[in-house]
Amino acid sequence: MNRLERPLDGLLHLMDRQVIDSEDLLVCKCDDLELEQHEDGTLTVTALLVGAPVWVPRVSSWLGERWRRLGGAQSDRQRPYRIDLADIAQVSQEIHLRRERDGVLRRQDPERASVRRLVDDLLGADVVGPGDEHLGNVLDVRLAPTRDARDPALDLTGLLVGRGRPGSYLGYDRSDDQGPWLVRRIVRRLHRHSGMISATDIDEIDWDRGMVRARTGLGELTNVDATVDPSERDELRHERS
Amino acid sequence: MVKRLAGTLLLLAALLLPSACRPSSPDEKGWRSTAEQAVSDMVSEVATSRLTVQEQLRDRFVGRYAIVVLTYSEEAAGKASDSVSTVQPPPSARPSYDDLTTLLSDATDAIASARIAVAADDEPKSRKAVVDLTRLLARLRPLASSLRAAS
Amino acid sequence: MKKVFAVALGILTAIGGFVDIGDLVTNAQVGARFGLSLAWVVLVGVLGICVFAEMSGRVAAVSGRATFDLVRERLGPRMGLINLLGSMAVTLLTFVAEIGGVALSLELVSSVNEVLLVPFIAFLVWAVLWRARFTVMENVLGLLGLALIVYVVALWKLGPDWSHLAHQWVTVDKPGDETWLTWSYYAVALFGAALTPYEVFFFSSGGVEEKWGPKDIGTMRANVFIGFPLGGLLSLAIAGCAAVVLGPLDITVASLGQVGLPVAIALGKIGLAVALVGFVAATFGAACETGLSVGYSIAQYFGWQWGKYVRPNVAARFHLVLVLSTLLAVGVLITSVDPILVTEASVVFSAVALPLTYFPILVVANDHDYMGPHVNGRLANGLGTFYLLVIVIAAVAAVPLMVLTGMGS
Repeated sequence: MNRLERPLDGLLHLMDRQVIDSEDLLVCKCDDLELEQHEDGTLTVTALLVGAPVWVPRVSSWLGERWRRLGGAQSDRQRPYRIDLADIAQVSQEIHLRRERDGVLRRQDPERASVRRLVDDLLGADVVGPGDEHLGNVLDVRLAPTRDARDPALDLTGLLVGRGRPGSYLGYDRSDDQGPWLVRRIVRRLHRHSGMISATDIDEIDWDRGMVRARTGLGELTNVDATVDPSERDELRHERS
Repeated sequence: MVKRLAGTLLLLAALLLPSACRPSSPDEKGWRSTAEQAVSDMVSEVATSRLTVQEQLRDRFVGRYAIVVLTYSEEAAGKASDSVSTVQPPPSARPSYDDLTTLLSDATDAIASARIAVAADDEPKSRKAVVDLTRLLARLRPLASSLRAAS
Repeated sequence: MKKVFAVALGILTAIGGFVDIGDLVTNAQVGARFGLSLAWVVLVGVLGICVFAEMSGRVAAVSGRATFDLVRERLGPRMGLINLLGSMAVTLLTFVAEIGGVALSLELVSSVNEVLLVPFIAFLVWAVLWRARFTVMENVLGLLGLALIVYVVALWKLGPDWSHLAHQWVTVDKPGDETWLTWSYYAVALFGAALTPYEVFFFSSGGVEEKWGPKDIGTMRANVFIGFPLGGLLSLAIAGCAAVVLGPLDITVASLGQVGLPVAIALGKIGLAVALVGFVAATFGAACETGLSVGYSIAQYFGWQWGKYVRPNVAARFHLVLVLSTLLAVGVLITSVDPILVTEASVVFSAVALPLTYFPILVVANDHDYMGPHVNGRLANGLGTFYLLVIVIAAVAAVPLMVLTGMGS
């Protein structure tokens, strides 16, 4: 199955996943996702980002700053490697490339830097509702393949918002029957205030302060696999086994 | 065990540094536990050595196995002996201090003699070593239990 | 027929590869001091490693992902890195202990000082990791490790008072001169010796090396549920021999030579020679496994190519990690630190580090997305949750117990 053909969650399904080349050799992990902000304010994921410039700040922003200072003279110190979505054959548990790994990683082009963002800059951002009330933090980004695009891309269609840290959901948001019982109860209890905001309800994103202003309150959290027909899902499971 | 104690000391070095005066002068309780540890370690090493020499006389070992075991015992016995002789005993323990250090160093010497006899393949000396080690065990064991009971 | 042979070989290597320096030393120490009053802990530990290895083996077979892939995917780069650092510190400590264990074993044979043997042994370990085929390495060392069955024979030959041993075991009959605090410390140490994290890193990564698929789950389970308990039986036999021979003489085990004494007494030269082969094979095999585990885990976190199923120049960073960790182990051991002491520390810190990797594996083994129809069933989850609690308790208690008891003295 190819996840890229249906809605998926950026952090859960793409970030930190293994990248594998056409010869089944391991290439790297996907450390972050490149976001392009269009003039109308919509956001699109255009590439996987790889390397210390995006990995170190995700480990700790303090370390990221030290890491930058260690090579201040290097012009590409903060430019990560990039894998274009066009190079991806399919996404399953892993991210499979169309080509061999030699020379597959290229530094991000300094052009168009003004419209480029990182998904990680969005993760953890404060989400504020119409009445300035704090709704939670961005826990994940919901993505869907762009229709009718010449270049393959993933549109950001919504934000998963809740308390706690991105990734702390451990995948328990997706199905009600995932065991073990004790762990599910604890994780779900910690995340009982979670919800979603659709991309169309995002009023503005303040990247410097790490804040998202929403036009509405939180909608109900939907399961990304719920958009797949249940019978189709069983088929997929069967196929995978 | 003396070795384990040394390990703990390493691990807790930061905590223990302030009290690391030389020679260390433990109080009554600290002294007893040092003495107890040293004596029970010595019982273990003397018993190991005696068992090893006995079995060597029955030709149960391959190669130089017995000599290696005895060398380790000798080393550990030396450490146990040093752990007592390098501390300042509290006043109340001074009368028994000399007896204790003499006994521990005698035991260390006996293990060394056993090792020499085994390495030289000297059967009469090995038999004598077994006798000596047995006699030392007979003195060390009651001492170990009385120290344990007191602490 | 070929299938039967493969399963049998897997089981035999699982038995032979189960015991390492931590099991040898800790079981002998505990046997000599506590008799069989801690045997329940060995059983709990062995069932624990079965549960953990079965889950991670199943995840590896179904998803093709080994432990640290999952740790990073589930816990993210920050917690994943903390997890990696903790687990690698313990695995490197174990690696040092295993190489030291090989040195001590060879010292018993040759009477050459163990410190002098270390560089030579480290070179051999590295050469095996660099050149030998994965299956050859695993099978040869695993089969030679079976020599430790000599402890079962020795225990039988010593003819102990079985009813006394059984009574000690069943009623947790701790010797009167030991406190419950020291008993608990050794319980955690034994638990850590049976459930060492590297065993699972190696087992799951080895599954990927051998290209397991869902159809291999049956073979994997046979290895785990037959091989590991029989390996645990060897651990108990070592404890039993120490309890029968060393315990009554008030001998506390502080050197590897003492661990071999009961076999020499029961079976003489030939038995001792077999035991020594077992010592060398068990520690050398474990040294290879821990060394590989360090490389596997670091490469999996960063997404580098790893594994012995590709040529070394294709997995250059992985092999660089192997070289560096071997050099580090040599560096530590030539300071003439006592390998037995390193072993004692490594088993306790194993217990501390265990929840770091156990928890993510438990979560992923339940995830339909990775596992499809092969998610944990009721039994796996019941045992999985039980062991989650046990492992967390052991991890929390380990360091306080170590400090309070002065490492069990």
